[in-house]
Amino acid sequence: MTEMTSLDLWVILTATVCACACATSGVFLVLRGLAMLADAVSHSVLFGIVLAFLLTGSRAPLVILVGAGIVGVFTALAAQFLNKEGKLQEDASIGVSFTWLFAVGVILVSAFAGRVDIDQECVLYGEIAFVPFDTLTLWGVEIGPRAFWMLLVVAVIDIIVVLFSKARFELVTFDPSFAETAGIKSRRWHYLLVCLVSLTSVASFEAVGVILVVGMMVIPPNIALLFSRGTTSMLWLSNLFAVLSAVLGYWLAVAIDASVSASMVVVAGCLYGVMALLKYGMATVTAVPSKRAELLEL
Amino acid sequence: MEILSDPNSLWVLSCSILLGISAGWLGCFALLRKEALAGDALAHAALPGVTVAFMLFQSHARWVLLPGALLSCFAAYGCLLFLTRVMRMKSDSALAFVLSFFFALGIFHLTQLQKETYSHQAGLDKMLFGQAAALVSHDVLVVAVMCAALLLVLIVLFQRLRMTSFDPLFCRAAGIPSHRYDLLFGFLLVCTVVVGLDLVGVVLMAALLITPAAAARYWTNDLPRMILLSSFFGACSGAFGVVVSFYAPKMPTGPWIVVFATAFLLVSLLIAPERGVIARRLRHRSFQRKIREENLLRALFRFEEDGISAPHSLQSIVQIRPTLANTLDATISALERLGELTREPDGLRLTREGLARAERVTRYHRLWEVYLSRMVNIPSHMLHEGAENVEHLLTEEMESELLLEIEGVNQDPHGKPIPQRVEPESGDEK
Repeated sequence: MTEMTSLDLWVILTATVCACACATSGVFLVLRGLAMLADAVSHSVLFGIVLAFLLTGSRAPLVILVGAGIVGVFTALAAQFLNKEGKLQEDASIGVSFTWLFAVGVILVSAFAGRVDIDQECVLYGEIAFVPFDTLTLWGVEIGPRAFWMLLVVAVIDIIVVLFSKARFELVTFDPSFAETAGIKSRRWHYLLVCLVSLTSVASFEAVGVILVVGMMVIPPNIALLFSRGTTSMLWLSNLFAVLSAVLGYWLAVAIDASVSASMVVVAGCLYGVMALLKYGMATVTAVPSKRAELLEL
Repeated sequence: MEILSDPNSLWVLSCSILLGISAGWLGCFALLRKEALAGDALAHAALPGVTVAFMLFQSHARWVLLPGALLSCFAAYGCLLFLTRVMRMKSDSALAFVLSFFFALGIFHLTQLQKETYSHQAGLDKMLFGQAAALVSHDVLVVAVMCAALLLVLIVLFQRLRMTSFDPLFCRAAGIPSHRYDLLFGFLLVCTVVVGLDLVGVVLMAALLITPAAAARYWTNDLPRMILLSSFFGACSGAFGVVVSFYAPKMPTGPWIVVFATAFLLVSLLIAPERGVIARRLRHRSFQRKIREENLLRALFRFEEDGISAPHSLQSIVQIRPTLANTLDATISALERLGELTREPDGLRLTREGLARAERVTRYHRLWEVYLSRMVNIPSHMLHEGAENVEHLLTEEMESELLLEIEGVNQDPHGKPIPQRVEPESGDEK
C-alpha cells in the first residue's frame, strides 16, 4: 500500500464500524444457536428493499432501512410460526421462510424491471469501495460518507443494547427455564435480538452485501468462543477480531486489487484457522505427555 | 399446450421436473438428518470452484465449470464436518461460517478476475440466480444424466441410507461404517446442488431441497411415502415454474418454482389430516369441550354424593368449579343435546346417562389417585392435580389395566368411595 488518502481512511473506518456492529450483534446470536437466522434475515432484506421502494416510490435511505428492517423481523416471525404452530423442525422453518421471501423479491424485481433500479448483485455482494462517494452534508458541511454515519449509529445502538441487557440475554440463553420462572419474557428478548440483527444487516448490506454480513456476524464471535470463558470477554474479543479482519481485509484487498468486503470475510475465516491452530497447538505443547498423544490424534 | 411443441422449452421442462424429483427425494433425507440448511451452505460454496475453473480453462462450458463447482462444494462439506465434529462448533454456526467464507472466497476471486484482463467473465455470476431459459439441449443432457445417476444411487442404497440417517449409533454398533454413508450423502447432496445451480440459482436451490420435503412431512410418517410425495411436489413446482416463465418470458423460472413449492407447503401445513394446523386446532377444541363437559358432570356428581338433592343451582356449580363460569351456558346446552342433563327452572338435573358418565369420570379420577399414591408414592395432598388432568384421558382398557394393578380397593386415598363399574342395563344407582 502506498500513501493513505482520505478515501482510504473512510473505507477503513466504515469497514471497522460495520465489523463492530456485526460482531456485537453476533455474539448472542451464536450463543443462542441462531446463526442461520442471520442468513435468513439478510437474504430477505432484498424483498424488503424492493417492497419499500414499490410501496413508497422513494429511495430515501430511511424508507429502505425501515422497510427492510420490518421484513427482517417478519422473516423471523414466519420461521417462528412454522416452527411453533406448524410443528416444522427449526432449521427447515428458517430455510422455508427466507427462500420464499427471496424468491418473491427476485420476482418483484423482474416484474417491475423498468421501475425498480435495484442491482441484485450490489445487494448480494455490496461494494465498500464506493462508500466514500455518497457523502452526507450537514448544515452545509460535508461530514463524510452516509454509510459510515448510519453504521456508526447502528453500532452504537447494538453496543448499548447488548451491554445493558447482557444479564437478561445470558439468562434466556443459558438457562431459559429459570428465566421463564423468574418472569423474564424470553420471547421478547429473542425478538429484541432479531431486531438488532435485522437492523445491522440492513445497515451493512450496502457496505458488505447481505451474504458477507453473515460472515461478519458469525465468524468473529466463533473465534472469540475459542478463547473466552464469559460473555464479557467474548464480546471484547469478537470485536477485536472483527476490527482485525476489517483492517487486514482492507489491506489484502488493496494489495491484490479485489473486493474489500469479500476479503474481510476471507481474512476472518483464515483468522479462525490460525487461532484454532494456535489454541490446539498450545494445548498440545503444554499438555502432559499422555494427554498429548490423545490431542495429536484428534 | 404449445409448450410441448417447442423443443427447447420441452428440454427445460423435463430438466426441471427431473431436478424437482431428485431434490425432493434427497431433501427428505436432508430434512430427517437435520441437515436441511446444508444445501444452502453448499450452494453458496460452489462459487469459488466455478471462478477457479474459469480462470484455469478460460471457458464457460458446463463441463468445465461443473467439476470446479463439485470440488469446491465437496471441500465445503468437508469443512462443515471438520468444524462440527473436530472443532465442536455448533452446527448452525458452522453452516453460516462455511457459507459466508466460501462465498467470500468466490467473490474475492471474481472481483480480482474482473479487474484483470479477462473480459468475458460477466456470465459467471449469472449462476447465482440461475438461467433456466438459457439452457440448450446438451446442457439438459448433462443435467438429465446426473439426475438419473443420482436417483439410481438413491434407489440402490436406500436401505443403508435410511438406517444411517435414523439411527447412526445402532449402525456403528452393528458394524456399518456410518461415516462412510455420511460422506456419500454429502456427495449426493453436492451433486444435486451443483446440477440445480444452473436452473434455479444459489439461494433457491436450498428451497428446492427443503420445501417439498417439509410439505411431504405433514402427510405421512412413512419414509417411502414421504419421498414419493416430496418428489411429486418437487416435480409439480418445477413444471409450474417453467410453464409460468414460458407464458411470461419476463418472469424468472427459479423463483416461481420456489413460490409454487412454498404454496404446496402452506396448503399441506393447513389441511394435512393429522399434523395440519386446522386438524390440530379442531382436535384441541373438541378435547377442551370434553374437559369442560366432564368437569361440569363431576361437579353435579359431587352434589349428589354429598346428599344435596337436584336441581342444583348454577351459582353453586360456579362456586366449586370457578373455571367453568365463562363457558357454563354452552357446556350445559351441549350436555342437554347429549341427553345427559336437563335444565329446570331453578337448576340442573343429571339424567341416567349423565350420571353414568359422571360416575365413570369420577372413577377414573379416584383410581388414578390410588395408583399414584401406591405406585409412585406421591403424598396425598399432591394427588388431586395429576388426577384432574388424567381423568379426561383414561379409556376403558386403561381402566381395566389399572384395576389389575390395584385390585380390591374401593376407597380413594382421601377416603371417598370409588364408584364401581356399572353395566348400562342395571344402571340406576339411586
